[in-house]
Formats: sequence, C-alpha cells, structure tokens
Amino acid sequence: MGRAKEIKIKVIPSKIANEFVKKYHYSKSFTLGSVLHFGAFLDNKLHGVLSYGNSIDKRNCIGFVKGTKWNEFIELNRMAFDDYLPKNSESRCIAISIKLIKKNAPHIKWILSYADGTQCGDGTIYRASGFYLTNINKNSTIYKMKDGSIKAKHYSSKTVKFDFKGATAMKGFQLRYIYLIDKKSKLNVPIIPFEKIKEVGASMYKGEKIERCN
Amino acid sequence: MNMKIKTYKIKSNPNNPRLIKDDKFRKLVKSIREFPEMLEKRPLVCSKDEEGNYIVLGGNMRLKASKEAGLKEMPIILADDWNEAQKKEFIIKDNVGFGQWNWDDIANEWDQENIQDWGLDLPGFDIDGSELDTEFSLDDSEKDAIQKNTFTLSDEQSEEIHKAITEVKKTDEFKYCETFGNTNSNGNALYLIIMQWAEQKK
Repeated sequence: MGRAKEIKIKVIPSKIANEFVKKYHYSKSFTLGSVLHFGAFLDNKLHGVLSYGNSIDKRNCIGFVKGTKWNEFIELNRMAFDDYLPKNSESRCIAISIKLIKKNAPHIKWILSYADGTQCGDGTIYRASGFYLTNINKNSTIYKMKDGSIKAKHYSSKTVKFDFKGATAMKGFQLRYIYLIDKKSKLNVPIIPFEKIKEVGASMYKGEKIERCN
Repeated sequence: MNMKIKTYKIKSNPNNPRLIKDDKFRKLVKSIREFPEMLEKRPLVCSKDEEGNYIVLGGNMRLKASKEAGLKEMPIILADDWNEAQKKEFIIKDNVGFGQWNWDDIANEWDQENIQDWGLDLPGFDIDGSELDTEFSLDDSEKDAIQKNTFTLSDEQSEEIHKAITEVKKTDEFKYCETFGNTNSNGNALYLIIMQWAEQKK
C-alpha cells in the first residue's frame, strides 16, 4: 500500500471541494446536490475529494434497496484525485469515508454511485471497494454539446436549460454500483457479475476503452 | 570551460523574459546559501559585451539570488561563439521544461519537506487541514425534506422573478449557494436571492 496509509480524510467545506472537483474531475463540474465533502490529505495538502449528496432522482433510487426511508441512503456523486496520491489511494479513501459515514450518520444504510463508462472508467475502484454492480446501461443521458463540452441531459432539465440541438450522445455505458453499509439490507435490484462488463463491451479505464485480460 | 568571475562584473540580461516570485526567490537564495557547490556544476551561461561585462544568457535568477546570498564570485561559461539569433534561441530553450514530474515517485521516494524547501511546488490545494474535523451530521429525518410552495403572482411579478432567477444562476455565488440537498435550481436560485436581500438589510 505504500504511502496510501498516510492519507488523512477530513470533512472539508463545499466551496473548497467544488473548486477541487472543477479542477481535477474529468467532467470539470460539480453537482449542487452534494452535501458532504471529504478531503484526502497527504503531506499537508489536499489531493483528493469525495463528495456525497442526494441523488438527483432520489424518488426513483430509493427503491433500489428494500425498505429504504427517505434519508437512509446517499450518493457518492463526485470523486476526484490529483496525480500525486500513490496507488490504491482511491479505494482507501472510499473505505475511510464509508467508515466515517457509518460512525457519524448511522442512519445511512447504503451508498449509490455511478461509473461513467463513456469518459472515465467502468468502476474498478468501486469493485475494489466492495460495491455491487447493479446495472449496466447504454448511455442515453451524457451528451457532447456542439461546443465540445459534456453535459448530462437529465440533470440539465432540472437545473440549467442547455440547448441540446446538435448535441450527440456519448458512446459508452453507465454502470450503477451500490455499497451496503447495513449488511442486513436487501437489494431490490439484481447483482450483476463483474464479467458482464467485458461481455457487453463496457470496459473502460481512465477514459480509454480496454479489453480486460482477467 | 568554467571561469570564475567577480559577481559585480556579471550583469543580468535586460531582455530576460523570465520573472521570479518573492517566495520562490527566497527559496533560491536559501538553496544557494546552503549548497553553493551546485553552481560549479551548473555555471551561468554568459556573453561578454563591449565594456567587458558578462551578460547572463542562462541563469539570471541564480545570479540575482547569488548576489543576495553574498557570493563574491560565480562560475560561468562563455557563449561568445554564438551569434545573436543563437543567443536569443538559447534564452528561451534553456527555460523550456519538456519533462514532467512523476508525482507518484515524488510522493513515495522523496522527502517532502526537503523537496518543498528546494523550491518544487507540489500539486494539491494548500489548505490548513489542522482545524478540519472528521465529524459531521446528516439529516436523518424520515420525511422528504423538500417542500413545494405556491404563490399567486401577477404576470409582471412572475416575469420579474423569473428574470431575477435566470440572472442569479449566472453568478459565481449561485455555484456555491447552500442547497441543503435541494436539486431544484429555481428553488436554489430563489433562496440565494432571498439570502442576498437579507444580507443587504443587515
């Protein structure tokens, strides 16, 4: 693990987290729905951010796990790291952040997150962190705009009105992951074996389409 | 071949296009004070002018810092065999960084305090983490914490309000507006307008 074990995770203000996400997240954007931000510190500097918050489509997502009440789940909706952090840092940061959620917000029973297999990756980090893969969806919401920027259509319809004329849907997949903090919780959605990612051609690592050898 | 020249005889290049910030300059002075031998291995590159002064082509910052550090002599290499075009080309090429740092190696194999002391800027945000905590609380109410409110407005009032909402969404304040988990941008914008009004009233 090397120096990954020296990383300290602390709660940071949204302003700092959002600035960091804007700089280091592949989308160059943050979400307004984030309510809890963890910072990953190494050598007295901030090198990573994990932002948790409400899902945009909370009413639909709540049903993914049986009997979930309104505030019993949270979405890991942004995760950004700079290149300074050593290998395995991401999964370590996720693990610590989950531990802190468990301690400070014991009512949270599960965590939802999405891997963007159109531009970023198929969720290697989530798999290494014990998340279940619960859906692989051909992208229909992430669009490349005429000016080259990337926008999420479902999000924009609720927030800023973008002009999607001439925009094209990005090729690739979106993968839904769920982590059960409360191990007694029961998923309402099927667990998909990780091999399926390769089968459907959804493999992607750091923005590159790949063929997995495992 | 290196020559040792009295520092007062070496002049900065008046056309040097490089700048150095105060904190970086202080680090360079410190670095030279602590390890002046490095100048022997990396001498200044100079050309001689008609008055016999040595004009720096490469190493203007080191010259400035060495003077500040109190060095009386400095090693130089002469580049008088170059024409003016070559000298100009050198000034730029000498300062272009083609490589990049492998931050993973830097983080794992090098002493971080030393490396920052030597003047290398590490990536990441400078934030005083000492006062940050690991404790927090999240809403644990069982109810949907979102309310829908209805107001009756005249067409004119409605138009003005929508105009204000559109305007406030374009501001930086909106980006950082407290949302309390609300993902409705109109609601967040309206809240921001009210907060700004409340602030003005103070």
